[in-house]
Amino acid sequence: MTSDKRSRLITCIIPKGNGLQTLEKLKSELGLLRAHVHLARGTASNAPKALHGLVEHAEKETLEVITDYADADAIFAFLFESLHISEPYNGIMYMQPLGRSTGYELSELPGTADPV
Amino acid sequence: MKYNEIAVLTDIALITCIVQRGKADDIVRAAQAAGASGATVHFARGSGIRERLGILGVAVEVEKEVISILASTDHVDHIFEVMHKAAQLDTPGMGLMYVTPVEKAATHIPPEVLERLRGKK
Repeated sequence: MTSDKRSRLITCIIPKGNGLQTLEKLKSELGLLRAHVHLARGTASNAPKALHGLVEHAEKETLEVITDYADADAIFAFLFESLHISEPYNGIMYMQPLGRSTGYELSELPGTADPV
Repeated sequence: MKYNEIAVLTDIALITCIVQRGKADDIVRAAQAAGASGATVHFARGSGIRERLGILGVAVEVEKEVISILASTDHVDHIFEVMHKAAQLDTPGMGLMYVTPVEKAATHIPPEVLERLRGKK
């Protein structure tokens, strides 16, 4: 088992809808496989308020990506631009150090050119 | 986009709170009253508590809600304490909470705020 003690975890909390296509982009453009998406609900203090002053809960997607230390900043910038994080109401992203992480290898399936 | 063009936030920490399903909204409300600017909640399933509590374990919901809140390091202790009280985490089976460091964060920063921060440097 190989494990990297200097990996980083990049987490993006984004509006629902872009998670899966970003996963595909990470794989096709950067060759990254250590990523997943799950659903969540979120609320923010600057979110539009409903009629009775209650903060609106919105469906979110949480995209988590494990990267090597050397590539972390570049992948952070890639996701920042791909997900348009700088625009209002487009979410937030952050990076955390990881104690340990493993690689994720996929074997070639017979008869397929590009393993999923 | 080059990394050095992104305005990143530092001195941030992540509070993660795992509670029984249905309790998250009240805790999030308390955290926001304490100064948290936002929260994300997702579902999870827990294990272990029922095995330990035996017949009393039926009172503990296996389905969980996981609350994630980013906070500045100046405010994280206060928000943590408020959430601890709101979630009654000193009661067995009510859940757990922890803080992890965040190296950097990025989000939309209004232009006027960005200019003010740049002017301070």
